[in-house]
Amino acid sequence: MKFIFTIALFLFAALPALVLSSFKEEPDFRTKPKPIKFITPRGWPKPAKDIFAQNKLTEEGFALGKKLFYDGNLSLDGQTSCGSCHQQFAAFSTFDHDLSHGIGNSFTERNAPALFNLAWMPALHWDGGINHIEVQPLSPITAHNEMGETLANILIKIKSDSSYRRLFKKAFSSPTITSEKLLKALAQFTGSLVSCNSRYDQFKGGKIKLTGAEEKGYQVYKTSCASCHPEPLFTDYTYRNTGMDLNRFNDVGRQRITNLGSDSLKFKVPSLRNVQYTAPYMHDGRFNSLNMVINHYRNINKELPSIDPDLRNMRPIAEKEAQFLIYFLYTLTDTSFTKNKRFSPDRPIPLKHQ
Amino acid sequence: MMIKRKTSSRLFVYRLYVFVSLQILRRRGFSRCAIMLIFFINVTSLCAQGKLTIHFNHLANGHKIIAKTGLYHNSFDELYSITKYKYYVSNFSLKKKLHSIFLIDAFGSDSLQIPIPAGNYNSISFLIGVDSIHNVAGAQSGALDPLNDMFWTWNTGYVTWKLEGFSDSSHADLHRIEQHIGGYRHPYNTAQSVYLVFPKPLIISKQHHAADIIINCLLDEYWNSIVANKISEQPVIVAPGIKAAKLSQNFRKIFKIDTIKNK
Repeated sequence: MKFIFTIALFLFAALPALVLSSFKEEPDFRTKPKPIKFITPRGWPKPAKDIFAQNKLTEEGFALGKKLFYDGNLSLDGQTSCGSCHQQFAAFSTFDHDLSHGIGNSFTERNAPALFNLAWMPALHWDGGINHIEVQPLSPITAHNEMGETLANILIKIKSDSSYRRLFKKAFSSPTITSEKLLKALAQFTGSLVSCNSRYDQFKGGKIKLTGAEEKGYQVYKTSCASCHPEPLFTDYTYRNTGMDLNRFNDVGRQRITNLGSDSLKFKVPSLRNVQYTAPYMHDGRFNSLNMVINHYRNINKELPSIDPDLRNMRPIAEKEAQFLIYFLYTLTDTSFTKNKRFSPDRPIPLKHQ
Repeated sequence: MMIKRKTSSRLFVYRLYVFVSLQILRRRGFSRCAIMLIFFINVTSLCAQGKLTIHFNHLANGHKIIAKTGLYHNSFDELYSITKYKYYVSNFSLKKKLHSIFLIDAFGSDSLQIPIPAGNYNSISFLIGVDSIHNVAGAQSGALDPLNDMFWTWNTGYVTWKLEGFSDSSHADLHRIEQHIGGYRHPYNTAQSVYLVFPKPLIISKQHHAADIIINCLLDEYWNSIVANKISEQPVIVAPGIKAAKLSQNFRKIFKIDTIKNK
């Protein structure tokens, strides 16, 4: 009896809250979105922050995010979608382009980074200037040499599209379209891009064996690369000066964000996963091949005062080791990711980068 | 119609609540009565809340600022006009902290309303800007919607204070003034707390269920108070960093209580 009474008491305590909340915007329960469980692959660390804690991942939210990602209407010319510079077959980087093309034949000033495992990335962009996955799209959307659009204009276009009105209602149980929901939906798509099924992963899971050359390359990786590109994400997401000289855009990297002289020419360590497809390399795409990158590290001037200490102490990669290393790096290619239909546009989209 | 029905149903629930409480009080022991009493007080205090309106009165050289056409001077004898003047105010605290964020526009919505519990108040404190938690929280709505154009897209963060205009003293293109002061990262945080003492107590009670605070915002202080901000030296600041952080100190001197009105 006492027990029942305590429960009754609790229910009673919740009553005012219930009454108050009932006056808020009423969700439409007939179209309740279907939740998706975001899974951390076995052996991986927990994501840097729970990006889906305040943005419940659902099938409908993901589908809306995907449509937005591939929609050219998010740009001024109606052609340049997120997907035009982040191409799935190149692990969502721009295939074979040092710099990408924005609207009106413009060029970006940095190499489009590959998009995967973003839930583990503490800050986005080469300089780490973006602190949350949800607000990242604002940068390319508004940049004059990328999508050149305004958020207000995009909302006008989307609100006038009945298919979007339907999708927003499905995803968020309410037909009102806001910038917050738009950005959250995009984050549901981009945050879901997880690449964890390369031959390396299958090897780690005991499903396959690496070839002799790949095994040798793995040892080279472990001794010469792993301090900045540690497993299993193949990056530690730190910012490092790798001896790149100042480019024609005067891009100082991390310093632009922190204003610290000590951060000059530091850029975020990119993941080595899918590196086979993400050429050209470095923040401005200055190296066309993995051989060029390895040669850069082999010939780096270790006397440069600003160079990263881990690079100064790096075990040099011998010439014959370089090829083995590349064989190993190719085991990080995840074609089940680059060909996953779930991440592909539902309809063909215009390709700007051919 | 809708509103009326909602209020009456709320009243009904409240009455039911009181009735059941009294029943429990009659039947059960003292400790339960105490618990119920706490809930009861919670509900009643919810009803006894007053309404506080804060008006921001934007002045330069002692006059209300007029957009575009008004011409003003700072203490360095630099003449200027203002076309845009917006800033965030948040974390109002009278006795309890109220976690709301408002965007004030000198040429638009320049007042705000917050609920306030009954009591006598002698001072108010608030933040000019947005606290760091809301700078790292991803996409948001309302005052924090990036649509309000107070958000940096290349270096995440809200602009604390946006002042734009023209001055012949400015060496920038078209003689423009563009001061977008922002940044939340240590040590270049630009959010500044302001503490203001009232000239007379602000009272919320059964007789006075609303009050007004009129705050004067003196742009003269922005150009020269804690630090000197000469238009000829830095007409354009549009990135977080040491310059913005230094200048933000002047926010602490801009806001002064004009009047308190107990209604």
